[in-house]
Amino acid sequence: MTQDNHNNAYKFGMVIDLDKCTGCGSCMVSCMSENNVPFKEDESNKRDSITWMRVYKLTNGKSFPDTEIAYLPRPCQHCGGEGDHGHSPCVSVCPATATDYGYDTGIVSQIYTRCFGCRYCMGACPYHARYFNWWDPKWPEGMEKYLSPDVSPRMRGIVEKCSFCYHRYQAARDKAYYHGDKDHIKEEDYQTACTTACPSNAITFGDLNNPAHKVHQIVKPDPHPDPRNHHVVGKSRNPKVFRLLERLGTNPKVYYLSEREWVRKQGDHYLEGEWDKIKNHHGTTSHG
Amino acid sequence: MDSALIPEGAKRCSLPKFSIGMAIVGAVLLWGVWAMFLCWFKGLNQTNMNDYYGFALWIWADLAVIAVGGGAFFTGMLRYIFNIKELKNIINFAVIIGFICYSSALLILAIDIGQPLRGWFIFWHANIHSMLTEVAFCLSCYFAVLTIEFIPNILENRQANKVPFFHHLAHNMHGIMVIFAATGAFLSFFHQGSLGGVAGVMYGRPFAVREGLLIWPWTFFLFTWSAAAYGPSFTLLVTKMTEVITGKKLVKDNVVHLLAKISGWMIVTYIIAKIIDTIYWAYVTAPSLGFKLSHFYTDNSFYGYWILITEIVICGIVPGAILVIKSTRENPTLRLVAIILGTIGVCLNRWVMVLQIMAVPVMPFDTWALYIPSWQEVATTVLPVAYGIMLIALAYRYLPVFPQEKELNSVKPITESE
Amino acid sequence: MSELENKAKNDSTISAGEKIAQKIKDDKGLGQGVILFIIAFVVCFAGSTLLFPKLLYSKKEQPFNFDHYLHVYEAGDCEACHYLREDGSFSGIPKLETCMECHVEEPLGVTDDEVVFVKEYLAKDKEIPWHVYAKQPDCVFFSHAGHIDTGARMDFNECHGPIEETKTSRTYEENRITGYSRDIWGKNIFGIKKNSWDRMKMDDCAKCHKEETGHQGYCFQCHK
Repeated sequence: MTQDNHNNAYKFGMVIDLDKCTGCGSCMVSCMSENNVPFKEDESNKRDSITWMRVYKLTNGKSFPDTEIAYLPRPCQHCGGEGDHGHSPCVSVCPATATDYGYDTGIVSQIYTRCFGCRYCMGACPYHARYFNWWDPKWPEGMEKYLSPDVSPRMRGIVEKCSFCYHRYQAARDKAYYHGDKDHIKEEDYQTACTTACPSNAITFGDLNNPAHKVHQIVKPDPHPDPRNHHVVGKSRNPKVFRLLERLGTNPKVYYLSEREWVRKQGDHYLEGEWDKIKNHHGTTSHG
Repeated sequence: MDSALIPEGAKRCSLPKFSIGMAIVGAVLLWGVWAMFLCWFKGLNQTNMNDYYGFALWIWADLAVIAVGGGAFFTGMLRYIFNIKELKNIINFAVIIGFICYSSALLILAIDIGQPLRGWFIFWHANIHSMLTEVAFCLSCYFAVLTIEFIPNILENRQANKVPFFHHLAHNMHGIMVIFAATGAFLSFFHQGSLGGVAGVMYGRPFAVREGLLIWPWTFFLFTWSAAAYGPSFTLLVTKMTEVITGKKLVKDNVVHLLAKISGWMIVTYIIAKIIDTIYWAYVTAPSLGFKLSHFYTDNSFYGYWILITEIVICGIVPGAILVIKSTRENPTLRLVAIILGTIGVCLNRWVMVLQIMAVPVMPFDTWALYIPSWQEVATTVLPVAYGIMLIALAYRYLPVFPQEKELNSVKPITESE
Repeated sequence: MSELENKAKNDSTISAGEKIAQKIKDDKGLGQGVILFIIAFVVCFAGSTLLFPKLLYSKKEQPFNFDHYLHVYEAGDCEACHYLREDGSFSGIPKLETCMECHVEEPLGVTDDEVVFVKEYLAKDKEIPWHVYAKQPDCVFFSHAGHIDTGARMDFNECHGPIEETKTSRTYEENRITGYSRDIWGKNIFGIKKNSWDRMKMDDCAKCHKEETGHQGYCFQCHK
């Protein structure tokens, strides 16, 4: 397997329709129970409690009656890094190789038994997608029996994050092996917990490299680098689709969709006048 | 009582008085040790760090002690490689300060990691692309070098030196010290730099990220430079403090002036580079990512433009100018002001490159995050200071640290100020 | 006030220093010292090599002996008990239910182990708490589907050894520190392996993957 992110390997990604998201938090709950995410008795301090999937509230900043709000669910963005070469902000800084970039799936791993808790990856991640286990997990009496055996529970002193429910990919691959077609995992066989739990179908998950997958059809990722910033690859050719902090060149695999311009504008920072110039520019025109 | 151990011809306070002083500092040390064990056994929940502040007070302290400890490698390099003879009168002390700083830095790192028992993974499973890996390797190696540099001085203790083996060992080690000084300088250029690289490579953090040369961001070079510039200032500051506490003159003025002058020129050149870097970052790098300078310095209760001005002007240009101009450099009061400002300046720079990076919101809908350390963090940060004071006191009392002490204090003063 | 230095002359320490110097020159005892050192080294080395595994591993017996040889003969093949389910997952060690496909009501055979099985487990409808020799740490994901006939077509012996020829169950050894089966590190305390199944560490997986697929695999290939 070569270190090439543009071959026919999978490139799993997600697009979240922010116009459909009601902020109900089902994705957060399903994620926590699917992935054995530990919790504390008092979860009011959001800066030391763990939520692989976190829903942020956005507002347009206007006062009544023009106030509008939107909710933005934020899993790990599974960044491809500058130029989409797999050097994600967190992967490149980990001193002990406890996190790596899977060139076969585009998924950023986190190995709990390898991590020694230096937290450099957390500093490097602009999305705050990485969480530290400040405490040992404590499950209420009897709840241990309900933990998923497919996801390894974590210990104190290490970092964890969303894995795109990788254990579901592993299960789907096993199934594909059994049915003799190991190279083609069906779209419906690998879906993350948050995707399946969302009551308004706001989340679409699949292979960004596969034109048959819904996520590809919505996002229409541009395989060529952005002519304005060669670090940016995979920009959506759908003008309603954006990524968070795309200009940093982190190349996330989580896309967001909204009809509302003010929502799209909150995806990144723009100097005065910049937004108006680029809001309608999406991807290289020759492939539009 | 312990007079047999005290260097020949040197005067030291009485043992009970010394013991009382040590006991007071020792109590502070124990407080820090207690906090350290709390962190080890109960985990990092003892701190006020959180998911926004993965790096906090400790990492700042770590970077700061390494920066001010830079006096050891730079003075060593000047003494042994550029063969500046006068500096032999302060090199022992520079090495001791370096030894304290680096052992403290390693200790802080051992407390800082979430799974201390897995600390060896950084060597065993090293990711060669990570700046932190380079830091760990160079830091450990350089600490070994500093230990080797410190050993001859320990062996020169009056009793140890009577053992022929130790005497010859110390003598021979002095002879080959140039090799270790060169090794130390080489290692230091890298780990000081990679500590700067730690921040500079975080391209997800527009406040930290810098362009650079090949794989090294500009912060890599700026950190090395600033450590070489401000480190000697700190060496002078600690020397001055030791002189005040002991009431003796320990290093001749010409040596102090020389080191101050070197430090001054290094600070001036560094601060020019730093200003260029800051301007380029503020007007090119950050705007290319959609950020205005005001984003990093407004809308919060702590980080304002004042921190930028303090770091660069008050604690950079000012001490640099004082130390470069002969008349101000040789004025003891102004020189003291300059080395204090310089030390604050480099510590402030490290603070900004650790804490402010964490504080600045990156996602447009995120907010500033401020943090106040817990007492356990403060205690473990004070711990190296107490340890440093104790080690300096012990070294000063029992080892011939300052070769000029005897000469400078040969005319017996009528009263002792102690 | 400082002590005056004049008192500091200390004759006894000077002579002590000279004595040490003399001792260094006098090397008559050196040969004996070296021999003593070698003997001490051998004793410590041998002692720790023999003793260390005993300290490190606790021994646990299986609930009762299981005769793989007999079962393979009677049942025909391995897949009768160890098989892939239709979703590609692996059945692992069979549950009581699978045993009861043959062991219905009355004992099959007359061994003591059969008696234990029938009395303690079959009659009480209790699962047998086998100790699993090949059990990997919790952080490991292993795909049987990817390795056996449906995937890489490996022979089960390559990892599990000639288990189909065993007539008794060997003692299970558990690492007291990690809780892992000794089979992971291997029987040899220095980690030396002669057969492919002697050791099952990550490096062993990675080595084979590297040879067979050209890449050792990304972390998540085998981790969960």
